[in-house]
Amino acid sequence: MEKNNNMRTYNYIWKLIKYRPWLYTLNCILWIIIHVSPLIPGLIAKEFFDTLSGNASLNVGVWGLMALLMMVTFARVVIIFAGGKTDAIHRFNMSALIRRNMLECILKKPGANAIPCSVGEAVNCFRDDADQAENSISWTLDVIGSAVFAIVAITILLTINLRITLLVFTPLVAVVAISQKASERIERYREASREATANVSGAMGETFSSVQAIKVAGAEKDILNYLNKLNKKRHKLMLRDSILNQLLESIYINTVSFGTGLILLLAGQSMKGGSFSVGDFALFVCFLGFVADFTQFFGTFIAHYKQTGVSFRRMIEFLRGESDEALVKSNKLYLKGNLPVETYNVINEAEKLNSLQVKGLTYHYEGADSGIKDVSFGMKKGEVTVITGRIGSGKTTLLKTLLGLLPRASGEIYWNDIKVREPENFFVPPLSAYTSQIPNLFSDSVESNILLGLEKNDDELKKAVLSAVLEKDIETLDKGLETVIGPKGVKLSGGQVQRVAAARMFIRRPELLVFDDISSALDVETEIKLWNRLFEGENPTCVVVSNRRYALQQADNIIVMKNGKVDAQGSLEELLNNCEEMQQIWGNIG
Amino acid sequence: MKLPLKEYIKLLSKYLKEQRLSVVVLAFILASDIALQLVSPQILRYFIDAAKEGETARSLTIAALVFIGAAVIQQLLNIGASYVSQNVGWTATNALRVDLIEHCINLDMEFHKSHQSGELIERVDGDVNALFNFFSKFMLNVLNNIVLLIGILILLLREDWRIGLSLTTFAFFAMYVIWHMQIKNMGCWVEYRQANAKLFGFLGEQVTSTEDIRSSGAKNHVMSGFYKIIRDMLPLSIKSTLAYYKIWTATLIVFAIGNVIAFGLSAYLWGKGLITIGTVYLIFSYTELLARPIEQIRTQLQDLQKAGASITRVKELFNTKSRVKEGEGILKSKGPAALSVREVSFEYEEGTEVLKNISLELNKGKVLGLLGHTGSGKTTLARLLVRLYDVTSGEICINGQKINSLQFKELTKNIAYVTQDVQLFHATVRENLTLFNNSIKDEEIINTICDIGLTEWYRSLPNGLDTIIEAGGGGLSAGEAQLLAFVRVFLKNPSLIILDEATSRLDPITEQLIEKALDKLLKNRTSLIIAHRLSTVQRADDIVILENGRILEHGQRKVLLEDKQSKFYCLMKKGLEEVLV
Repeated sequence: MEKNNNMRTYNYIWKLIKYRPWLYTLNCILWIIIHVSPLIPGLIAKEFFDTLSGNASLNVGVWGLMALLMMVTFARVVIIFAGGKTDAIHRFNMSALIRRNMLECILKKPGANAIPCSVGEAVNCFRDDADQAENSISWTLDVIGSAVFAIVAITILLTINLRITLLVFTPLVAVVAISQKASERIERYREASREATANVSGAMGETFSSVQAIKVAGAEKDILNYLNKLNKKRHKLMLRDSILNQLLESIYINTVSFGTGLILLLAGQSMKGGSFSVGDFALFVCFLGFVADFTQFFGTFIAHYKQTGVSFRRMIEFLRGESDEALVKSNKLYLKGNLPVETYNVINEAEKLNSLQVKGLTYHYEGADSGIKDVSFGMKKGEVTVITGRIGSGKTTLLKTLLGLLPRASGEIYWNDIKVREPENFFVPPLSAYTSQIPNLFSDSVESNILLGLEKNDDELKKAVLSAVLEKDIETLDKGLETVIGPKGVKLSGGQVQRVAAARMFIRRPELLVFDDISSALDVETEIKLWNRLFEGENPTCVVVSNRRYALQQADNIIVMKNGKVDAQGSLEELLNNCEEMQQIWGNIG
Repeated sequence: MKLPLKEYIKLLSKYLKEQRLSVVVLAFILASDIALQLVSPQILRYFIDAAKEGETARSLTIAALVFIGAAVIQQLLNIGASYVSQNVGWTATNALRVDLIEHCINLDMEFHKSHQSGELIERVDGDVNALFNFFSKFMLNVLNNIVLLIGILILLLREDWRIGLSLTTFAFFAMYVIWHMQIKNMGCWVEYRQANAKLFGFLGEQVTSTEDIRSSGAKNHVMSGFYKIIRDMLPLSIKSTLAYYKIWTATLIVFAIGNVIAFGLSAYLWGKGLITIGTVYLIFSYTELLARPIEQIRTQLQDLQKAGASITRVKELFNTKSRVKEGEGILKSKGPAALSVREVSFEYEEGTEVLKNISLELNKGKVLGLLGHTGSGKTTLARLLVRLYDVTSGEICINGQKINSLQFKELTKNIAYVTQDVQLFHATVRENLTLFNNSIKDEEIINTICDIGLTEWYRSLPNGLDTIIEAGGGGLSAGEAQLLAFVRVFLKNPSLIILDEATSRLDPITEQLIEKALDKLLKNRTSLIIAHRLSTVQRADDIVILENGRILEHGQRKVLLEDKQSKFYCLMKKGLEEVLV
C-alpha cells in the first residue's frame, strides 16, 4: 500500500462517504427534503393572509389551507422518520467502521506498547473522536440541506420583492463575516476554559488519590484553598467563554429582529400602496428566521470541521506506521448475516520446534538507558531455559522482545534455523504461548477466558485446568467454570489470575511455552505442583523467568541477566561455581 | 415520574442564600425580557393596521424604529441575564464542589479504598456540573416561561374570549402530549447508554490486554467480540434516535394544530368584522410564540429529571459519615513522643483479624525497627497510629493520652508518616513541599532543602520554588520524590516519625543521601521504621518482628543480635532482602 500521511480532513470525510455511497445518497435526498420542507408552512401562512385580504393565488379558501397545512405536516413527519432512520443507520456505520479499524490497528501492534497513551485516553478517543467523525458526516447532510433551503427561500423572496430582499439580507452576510472573525477568539477562550477545567479535575484526582498523605499531613484546609483557587479561575474563564458565545448568539438572533425592523421600515410605503401584502410580510419574517438559522449553522459547521480535523489527527496517532487511510478503509462490519469464522493456525511437521536460536537481540526503552543489549542464546526441543537476574536486569524485556511484544532494535531469531522475520506475528499459538507476570483477564466466564475463542472441548479444558493447578480454585467458585471473572466479575487473587492465564496457554498446546515469573504470586507448594504436572507430560520446551531455586534446578540452561546483558549462561552447577551474580541470587533466595 | 421537590429546594436555598441580590437582579431582567417579548407582536399589529389604514409614513417609521429598539434592548437583557445566571451558577457549584471535596477528604480510608479517585471525580465534578443549570437558572427559567405562557394567553383573551379560551386549551393539550412523549421514550436512551457503556468497557479491556491477546493469538476472537457487540447495538441506536425524532415530530404536529386553530378562529372573527388584519397577524405571532415556553418548560423539566439522579448521589455522599471520629483533647507534653500500644487487634473486614493482640512500648527518643513478611500487618499498625483506621479493640496512647481522644490536628502536627509512594501534585515545587500551606516562608523551605543535601537539585530548578512539577511527578526520579517527602517532614517538625519502607525503591546513591538526611531527621525524635534494608534497621534501638498479625519477637536490637536462637539473628544472617520481599 502506498504511504500517504498527508490526508486532509475532507479526504477522510470523502472516504467515509464512499464507504456506504448509496445509503449516503438516500440519506442526503431525504435530508434535503426535510430541510426544505419548512418553506411550505411559511407559504401557507402567506396564502392565509392573502386569502383574508382578498388576493389569494390558490383559491382553496381558509378551510382548504388548514387542511393543506395538516397534510403537509403529516408528510413532513413521515419523511423525518425515514430520514431519521436512514441517518441513524448511516451514522452507526461510520463510527463503527472507524472503531473497528482503530481496534484492528491496535491489535496489530507489538502487544507491550500497542497504544501511544494511557488506556483512559485511548477509550476517550474510541468514544469521542469517533463520534466527532460520525457527526461530521451527518453535518455534511445538514449543510447541503440548509444550503438548498437558503437558495430556494431567497429565490422565492427575490421574486416577491427584489429591493427588500437585497437590503434585508445584505446585513446578514456582514454578520456572518463578523462572527467568523470572532470564532478565533471563541477557540482561544474555549481552549483556556478547557485547560482550566482539566486543571480542576486533575487536581481533584490528585487530591483523591493522595487522600492518605493529606490526612496524615493534616493539609485538608490548605488543599481546599488550593482547589478553590483553581475553581475560581475556571469560573472566570468559563464565564468569559459563555458570555462571548451568548454575545454572538445574540447577534444572530438580533439579525432576525433587526431584519424584521428593516422590513417594516422599507415595506411601510409598499404596504400602504398594496404592492406588499400582509402575507408577503409574514413570509419575509418567517423565512428570515430560517435563513438566519442557516448562517448560524454554517458558522458552527466551520468550527466543527476544525474540531473534526483534530479528532482525526488524534486517531491517526493510534495507527503509528500504517497508512492514514487504514483509519477509514472499507471493511466489513458484519452487522447482518454470519459472523466471520474464527480461524486458527494449524502447524505442519516442518514447523514443529527443533531448535531456537537468538542472536544479538537488542531493545532500548524510549528515553531511558534501560533495555537489553546483544543477548544471544539457543535451545533445543524439550529443553527448559531459565532466565534469572535481579530486579530491573532485563529478564522480562528479553522475553517480550523475543516474542515481538516489544519491537527489537536489532538481532536475529532462528526457528529451526529459519530466520523469523516478524516475531510479533510468528510467536503466537500454536507455535508459542506466553503468560506474563501480571496477566489480564477479561470480564467473562473462566471458561471463555481460557478458551479465548478456541472451540470448546471438555477433555482439553479439564486437562488445561489440571495442568495449571486450578481445579481446587474452580471448585470454590460459585458457578465453577461459568463464573464471570475479570474487572467486572469475581476478583481472583494474583496467583489465581496467573494460573488462569497458564491454563489459557496450556490449552493452546504450543510448541514453546513462555512463563514470566509465574511463581511471583504462587506459594511454593502450588508452584512445585505446577512444574511437576508440566514435566510429567510430554517434555515441553519452556522459557521461564524465575529466581526460585526449584525452577533453577529444573533448568537445562540458565541465562543470568545483569544490567540488560547476559552475565553468564550454563548449567546450575557451572554457574554456581563460577558466576558471582548467580551465587548471590542463589544465596539470596530460599 | 417523581421529582423530589423538597430535596431540590433545600439544596437550592442553601447554595443560593449568599447570592440573593444576584437572584433578584436576574428575576428583574427576565421579567423585562418577558414584557418585551409580549410587546413586539403588538407593535407589528399596530404597524400593519396603520399601513392598511393609510397612516402617515412618519408614524410607520416610528413604529419600525420602536420595534428595532425593543429587539436591541431584549438582546442586551439576554446577555445580562446570561452573565448573572452563569455567575450565580459557578459560585454555587464551586461552593458545593468544595464542600463535597472537604466532606470526602474527611471520610475514613475504608471509604476511599472502595471508591477510586476517578469515581469520586465523577461524583464531585460530573454530578455537580450536571447541577449547573439547576442552580444558575432552572427555577427562574421555569417561572419565567410559565409567566410568558400566561402572559400570551391573557393577551389573547383580551383580543377575544374565543381565541383566548381555545388557545389556552390548546396550550394544556400541547404540554400534555409533548411531556407524555418525553416520558414514554426515556427508556430507550437508558438502554442505549448501557449498550454504549458496554462497548467502551469492552474496548477498554481489550486495549489494556493487548499483550495477552497477541500472545494468545486471540485477535480474531476479539474482532468477533467487537462485531457481536456492535450488532446488538445497532437496533438500540436506531430506536433511541427515533425516540428523539418522535418528540420532534410530535411537536411539529401539535403546533400545526395550534396554527390551524389560530387560522380558523381568526378567519371566522375577521369574516364577522370583529378583528383587523393586524390582529390576525398578532394572533398568528402569539401562536408561534407559544411554542417557545412550552418547549422550554419541557427541556427544563427534562434537565431537572437528569439533575435528580445527580442530586440523589450528592445527597448520598453527604450522608456518608466517617467511622473515625475526632476527639477533643490537646497533646499536653511537647518534645519526642512516647508511644504505647496495648492489646490492639484490628480487622479491615469482620472476621479476618489483621492484627492480633499487639502490645508494645516505645520510649521517648527511641527508634523501633518493625520487620515482617508482606501481609504480616506492619503497614496496618502504622495506619492505626495515624488514625487512618481505628483499632477494633485495645488502645494506642501517645504520651499517655489515647489517640482517639485527641483532635486530628494534634495528631497530624505531631506525627509524620512517610510511605514508599510519594504523592505529588501538578503544582509548584513550593506547593508540593508545603502541601499548599502558605504560611511557610520561602527562606525556611530553602534552608531545609539545603539541610537535607539537595542544594544542587534546588539550583537545577529552572524557576526555583516556582518550578511546576508535572502531573504524576513526571521529570522526578523515585529518589528525588522520596527526598521531597523528607523535606515535607522536616518542614513539619513532628515528634514521632513513621517510615514505612520509605527507602525500599531507591538506588544506592540516593540512599546514601537519604541516610544522611535521616541522621538529622531522627535526632531527638521518636521513630518507627518499617524496614527493608539492613542499614536502616541498624539505627533501631528495639526490634519487633511481626508474623500473621502477631508479635513473633520483641527485644533490644543489641540483645537479639547476640542471641543465636533469636529470629532476628537468623534474619540478619540470611540477609534481609529475601525474607522480607
